[in-house]
Amino acid sequence: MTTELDAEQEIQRFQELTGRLKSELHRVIVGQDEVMEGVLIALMAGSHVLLEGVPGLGKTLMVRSLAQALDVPFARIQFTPDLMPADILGTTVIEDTPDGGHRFEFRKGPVFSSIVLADEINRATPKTQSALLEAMQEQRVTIGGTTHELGSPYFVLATQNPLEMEGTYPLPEAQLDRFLLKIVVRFPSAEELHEILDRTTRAESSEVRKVLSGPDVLSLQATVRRVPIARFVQDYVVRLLRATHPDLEGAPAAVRRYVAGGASPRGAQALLLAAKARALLDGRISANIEDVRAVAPAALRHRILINFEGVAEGKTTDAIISELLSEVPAAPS
Amino acid sequence: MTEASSQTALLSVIRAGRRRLVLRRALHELDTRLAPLCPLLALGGGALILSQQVLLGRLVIGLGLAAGLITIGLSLRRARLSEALSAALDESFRGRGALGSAVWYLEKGPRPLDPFQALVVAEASAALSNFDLKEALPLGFRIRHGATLLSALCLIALASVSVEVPSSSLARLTPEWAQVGAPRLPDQVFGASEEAPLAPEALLLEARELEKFLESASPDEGFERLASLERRLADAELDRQRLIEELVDRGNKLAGKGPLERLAASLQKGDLEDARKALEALAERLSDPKQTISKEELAALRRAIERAQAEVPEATGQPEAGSGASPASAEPSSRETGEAQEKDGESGAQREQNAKQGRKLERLGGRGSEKSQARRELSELDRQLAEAMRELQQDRESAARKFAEASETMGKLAQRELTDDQKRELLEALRKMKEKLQDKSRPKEEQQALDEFRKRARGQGDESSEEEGRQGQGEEQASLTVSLEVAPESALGQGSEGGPGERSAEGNKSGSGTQPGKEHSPELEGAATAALPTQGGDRVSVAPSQEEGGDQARAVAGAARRGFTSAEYRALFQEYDSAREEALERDRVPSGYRTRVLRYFELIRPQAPVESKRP
Repeated sequence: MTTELDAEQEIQRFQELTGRLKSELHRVIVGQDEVMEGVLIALMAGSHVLLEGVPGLGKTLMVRSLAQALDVPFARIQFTPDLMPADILGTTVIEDTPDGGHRFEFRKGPVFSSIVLADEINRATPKTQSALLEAMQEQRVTIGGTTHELGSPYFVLATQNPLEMEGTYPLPEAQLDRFLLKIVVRFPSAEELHEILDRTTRAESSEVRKVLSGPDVLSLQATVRRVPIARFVQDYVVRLLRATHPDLEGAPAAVRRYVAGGASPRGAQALLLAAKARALLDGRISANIEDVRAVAPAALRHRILINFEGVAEGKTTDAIISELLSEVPAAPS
Repeated sequence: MTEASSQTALLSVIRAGRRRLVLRRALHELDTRLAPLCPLLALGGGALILSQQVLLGRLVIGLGLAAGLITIGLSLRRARLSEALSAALDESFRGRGALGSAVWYLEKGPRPLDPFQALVVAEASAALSNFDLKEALPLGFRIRHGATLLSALCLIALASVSVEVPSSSLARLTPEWAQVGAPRLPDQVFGASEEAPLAPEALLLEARELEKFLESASPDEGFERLASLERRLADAELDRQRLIEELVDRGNKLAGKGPLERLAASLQKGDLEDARKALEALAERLSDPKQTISKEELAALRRAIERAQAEVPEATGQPEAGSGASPASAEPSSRETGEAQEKDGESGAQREQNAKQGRKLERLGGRGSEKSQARRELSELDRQLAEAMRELQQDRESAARKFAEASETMGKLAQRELTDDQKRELLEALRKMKEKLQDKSRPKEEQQALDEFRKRARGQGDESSEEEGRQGQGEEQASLTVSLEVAPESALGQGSEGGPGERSAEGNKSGSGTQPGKEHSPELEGAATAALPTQGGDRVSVAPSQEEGGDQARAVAGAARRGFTSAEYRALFQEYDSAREEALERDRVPSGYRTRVLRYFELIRPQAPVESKRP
């Protein structure tokens, strides 16, 4: 049975390991603290993350660096319009047997790695994008009637370009909902740009060392789940989530006017888990309302559907969420 | 810090936090839901109280308060205080601590606490040293609604205070006021005693205040107040007349050659200011060692003052001759009446009886003890003169001081007189107020007709003054024509009685005269007497026959010629006065009319035969 001392040690270990991981990533990644925090939150929460930004902002570098820092199998899938689901999941081929016969053999696709980088995921067709659905949610793949379990930890990091760009396919809602967070990668500041140039244009390059093993990651994820959360915080999460639905009581005016569909219960799970992970990464034992507020934009922005009027008026989900956060009180009325 | 002690510290924070949260919630409810309700109820209740519906007003305020308490109670019952407290504490730290969660775990968490929860509690307890509950849970009372609520509370307090009338104030209320439950204006406006005559300045002030009050009061209240003011105005004027008479009497006694010659002459003329100056001059003369005063002068001075003192018993505190009861005896009686009113359990009927008894005593005692401020000052003047005389035989300087004091007293007496301007202002104010009240109480159609009439009347030019005088004269004839003869008092204006005048029933005499009338009306004989039975025959028990009417008319005419001092007129007046008293006691005469009757009889009261008292 876990004692208070064990709990304290567990938290200390969490902070030590995540501290090492952060410092290792910082050797390669310049700035982008918000993105890195989001990625780590998703990793510690045991879920997936979608990074959105224009090409060249270091999304792929970050994911690759993370994969290098973790001593786990890593695969990168470059999504293109002609990419097929089998290219991701794997395929069954006919192999010769030693006795001269033939048999069907399943060749695993890149999805079977522990860390999967789905680069420019919105460049593939929705059919191919949907190939990841089962893997991301169930951590298993069913091909030809046979179910194949994926290993642990399992972490999908997808990047996508903004939808306005040519040759992109919007991700289906069901697919989007599988991502714990959607992180928008901002353009670096001038100082960060200088640092990027300094680091990337000289002869020597920084190599990322492996600092965490697969089991380490799993234990960190277990610690996050043990972080207690008070009922009033959970109550806030519930009220916040219900407020995203225009047809439910308590929805702010902006939601009622501009939102077509609110977040699913998976959104509440995402809020709570992300809040817990954030609290731990911040060195606190207990998640509070402020943690929920901090992760709400990343956890909800891909789960809220703007209606036609909202699109026409240029409303963004971030603006809606901002209004939600200001309208929903921390304490019940 | 041990686990137990840390939990104890946190629990105390929880208790204090809950109390503060309850207060905050109550204020919030007041601030939002009850904000529009409170001022309305307070205003309604206050208005009802001010309009003498005290019980109803209290009920409204009570209902408002009860509704407020119930609303707050229900909101607190609905409020999930544990969640609210934890969330509020959590909010206050904005993610920097875990106090909110710790409070939650302690209040609602499982027992024993999960190791992680226990860690949270321990961490929060350690951070308590820097914790300030007031900072963490501000009451959040917004200014906008706060101001509204504050005003509501002030109104409630005001209404409550206005309900609490001190028993001493109740005792001072005259029975009429107590019976009708009329609203009281502050003492400085109406005076502590309603019947007490006021100083001229106070009368003017009261008239101005009354004008403001009448704008918001009902016509009945207005007439009541107006009648009260008129009554005291008449009393004040009568007081002044009596004072002048007595001073003239003093002047007669002091008359003769000597240092007091000028003083005597001034008093005989009724010129109080000049009398004051005479006394001042005498005091200066005595205080100046260079000026001599002969033995003859001293002897004359002594003789004059002794003469004056010998015939003025009240100066030494003796009861006033012929008044039936002394002010000294009337004063305790009225005081006893007041005390009796304060006693708990005394019935209203008993109180009324006491009040009637008090009024009777007051009437019997002449002007009543509290009314005779002028008389007291006159007594003080006599005393100072007597002392000055005594001092004169021993210490000249001390005598000079006494004369100077007497001069000051004389100055006070002079100040009690209403100036002509003040009279005019007061009369004008009263006339306007009466008009306003009449307008107010009149039906709309009648009011419109009257306005139209006034408009047309204004368009007729300036012929009013002479005409009005004639109209007023005619009116007086209808009752008792002698009043204009009586009359410096006629200057106070009977003018508004636009009734049964023979020449003009529409007359509105403005009372512009300041001197007594010089001649009688040609219709004096007979006509006035004939008018009496038709006017008041059903109320006044005196129903003169045709023969008696002639005698009475002759008595009145003769009295008028001799200045109303004849024994015949005195007997006639007593007969009428007793009839008047009976009628007023018996019948329910409206206050305004009662005042007029009383005042009228004061005006025609027989005068003292001054000449007969001359030495």
